[in-house]
Amino acid sequence: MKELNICETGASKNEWSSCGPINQGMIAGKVKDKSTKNGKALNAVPSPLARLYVVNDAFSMLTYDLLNRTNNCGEVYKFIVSDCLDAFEILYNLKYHEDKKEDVRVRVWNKQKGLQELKHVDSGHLATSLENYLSDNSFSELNEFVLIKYKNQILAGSSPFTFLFTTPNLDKYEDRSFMNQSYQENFDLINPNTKKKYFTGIRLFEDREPLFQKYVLDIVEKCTSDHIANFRNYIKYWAQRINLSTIDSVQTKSVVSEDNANVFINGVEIGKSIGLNSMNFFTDHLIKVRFRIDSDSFFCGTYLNDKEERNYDYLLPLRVEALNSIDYNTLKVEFQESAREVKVIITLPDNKQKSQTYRKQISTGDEEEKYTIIALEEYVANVNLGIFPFLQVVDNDDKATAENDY
Amino acid sequence: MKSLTMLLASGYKACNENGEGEAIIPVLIDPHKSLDEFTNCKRILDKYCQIRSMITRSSVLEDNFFHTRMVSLENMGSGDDANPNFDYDLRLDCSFGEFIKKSKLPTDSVSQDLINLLYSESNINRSLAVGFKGSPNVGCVVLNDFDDQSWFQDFTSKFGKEDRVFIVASVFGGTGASGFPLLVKKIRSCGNTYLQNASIGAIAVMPYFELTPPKKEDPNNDINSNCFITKTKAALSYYDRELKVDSLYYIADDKQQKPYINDEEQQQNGTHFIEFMSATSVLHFIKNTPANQSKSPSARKTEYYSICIDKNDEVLNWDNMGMAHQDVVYSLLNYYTFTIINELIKKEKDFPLRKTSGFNDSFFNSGFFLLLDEFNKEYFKWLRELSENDRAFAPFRLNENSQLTDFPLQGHEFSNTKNFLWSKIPYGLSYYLHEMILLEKKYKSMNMDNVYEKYTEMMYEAIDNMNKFIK
Repeated sequence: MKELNICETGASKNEWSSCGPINQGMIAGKVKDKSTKNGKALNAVPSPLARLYVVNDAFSMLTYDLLNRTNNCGEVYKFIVSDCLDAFEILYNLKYHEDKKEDVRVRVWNKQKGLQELKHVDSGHLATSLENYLSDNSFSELNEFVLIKYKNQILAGSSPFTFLFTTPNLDKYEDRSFMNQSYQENFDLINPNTKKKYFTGIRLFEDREPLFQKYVLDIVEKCTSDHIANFRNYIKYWAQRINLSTIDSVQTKSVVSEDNANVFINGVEIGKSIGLNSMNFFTDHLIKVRFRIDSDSFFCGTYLNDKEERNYDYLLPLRVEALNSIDYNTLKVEFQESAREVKVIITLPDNKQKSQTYRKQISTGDEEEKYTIIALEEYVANVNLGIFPFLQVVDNDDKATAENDY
Repeated sequence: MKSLTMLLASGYKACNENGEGEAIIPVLIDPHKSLDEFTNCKRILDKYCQIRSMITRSSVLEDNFFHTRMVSLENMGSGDDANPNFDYDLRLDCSFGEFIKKSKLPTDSVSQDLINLLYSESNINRSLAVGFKGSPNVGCVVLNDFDDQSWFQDFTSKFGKEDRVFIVASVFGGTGASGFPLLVKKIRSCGNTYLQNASIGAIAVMPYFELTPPKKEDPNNDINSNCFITKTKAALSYYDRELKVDSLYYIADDKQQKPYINDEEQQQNGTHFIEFMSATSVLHFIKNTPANQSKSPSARKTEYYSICIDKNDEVLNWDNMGMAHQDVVYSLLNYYTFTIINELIKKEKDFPLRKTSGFNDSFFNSGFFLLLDEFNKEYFKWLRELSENDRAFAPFRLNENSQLTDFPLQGHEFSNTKNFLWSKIPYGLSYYLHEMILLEKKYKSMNMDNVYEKYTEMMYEAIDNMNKFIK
């Protein structure tokens, strides 16, 4: 007996006979994608809010795969999940982008005002349709959409299912280029944590910084809505495995929209990271120079078990934003060397410590390899580094002047 | 719709739970009007209605081919079944962006941003003249003004107490997938209480064919069959959450080996077995889902249905489909037999009923036969397409030259075990002509004024009397 169906529902007669519904669980578990990598597959839901459902399904399918050790979720859905998390990361990094004067805007589409505006446009087809679909169960409590925009390009919006969802303009072809030419050519917002453009690679929750993971987990835990079940299950799955309980909550400040209102999504106030503890302090590489740096003139780290014959130094592997946020006079940086790696330990003013271990570079020149030591003596023929300036400007009392604030 | 029409032409009845015949009122919703398959389907429906109106004395017909009444929404209540109009102009010659008047919104308005968030630029710039090209999120907005359209107004004003609705839609495409849940929404919120509370059935047609890969150099080619399953998953997931009908039928197939040519302008895909099976769901719904419901739609439970075939063979026939399918195949067999006899009988100059029942040359040269011949050619073409597709539905020996030397049912010989006389005579036309002669007396006593009705009904009975021994 062969059932003429997309999956087996239990029907066993060669006439129309009762079966169970094909529900989300069956879809995730029994229906395998045909290696779909093309974003064009994502517009199948007959609602103007289709995108929100698709993003929700992506989380559901991915979680099913994680729980059942299957691989039914096509790459296109993994990208959707990753993009959604990237949208979260934009809000997480919002202060960084604001400090850099990058044109990231948070706007709010108010349901009542927005529908009114759309209705004024001639026949109001979209307004009527949106109004109709916004009355569906899942949207009955929704009064606004929070929108994230960069320059003149819309990136993401709020969703009752997944907090955030991305525009289909960010969907990709199989070669991972944006399907939208304008986004492909003009989108240039760089994620400070990866140094790459947002939305350009698959980075699932487990691949992200623990502090960011904690940030998302905190948001999920504050939300009581049943609509976020799929999203919650996915985040909780990883939260249990990564053990985020040892990490302090991220210090945040409210995200404020263009209308000067604090931003809430699904009843949770959304923050942007501001705390030192949420900052990624360390650069991707530790640079070793083949001379000792004058610690009387420059701020240097100290070495645990230092040797007098040491004829090299490490540049402080600290990001600019870290240095801008800490009074270096209260900062303590220590290098702990071993045969194959160097551990850098920072002690913050509140005595909390951060550390990062850098390994000796195995495959030189691989930009993707993070947290490695770049020893300049290995590049002696081609590269060297000087510390500028060599001179210190002093006043009549031999004290350094303000001109030294280079 | 074409398969349903052919099935009904074969005399298969659309009967309700009490065994009473029901009429079917097809409404075709497709803005892709230039599509050959769409116009062809309408032409076949027109012919069905014209033929039926010529062989019926009243709206009720006895056992006969074309038993079930099909009438256009426009002609409902007018008594004029012969000139149906299944054509509602849904074509739009503009892009989606123009349709929603996007450019009239201020450039930096938040509503502009919301539109750009929900729709891709290609969605917005796409012309609506050729349908929704696999984008139900666009289609559901365009079709949302159902209420203002003449067909929906006709539909709501004419829908009566015992009427039911059945929606046939593919869930991995554009138009069907767009219109299906929307139509349910509109029905449930319309002003006609009968319609609001009506029993609704639907068949979700899921992937059953593949397409050749889209050409890379054609950026406008939006149809890629690799996406069909992904689309179906998304659609089913949405239906699971938001759609409520009384009976939902599922159908899909994974047997196709030769993909169709990926040409959305032409879409010259032959009829597929799954389309034929889908047609049977309409009849199952009429028989099994009562029109009168005691509970309100929101309090009713959806019944889900699926269907099997006995063997997962590439070519399906009478023997490997399964017993339950044989009733349907039997009806098709009878009509196919009819199409052959109808050709051969014209050349039988010595057939006594030419004189005694008026089945003479002027009868066979009448407009009715021209119409019937055209319909029968479509029927043959339909059977051939089914038999040549993947998976094939090929229960008959299809003969281009209308020969009746072999019994038309593939793999079976005619065996009339009850009538010893016939066992001595080779199978052929004479079996059926003789049966008609035997039936003539009965039909004469019925004083049938309508000679076309008499001819088709007599033929229906004669063929059934002969072919039924296969059962």
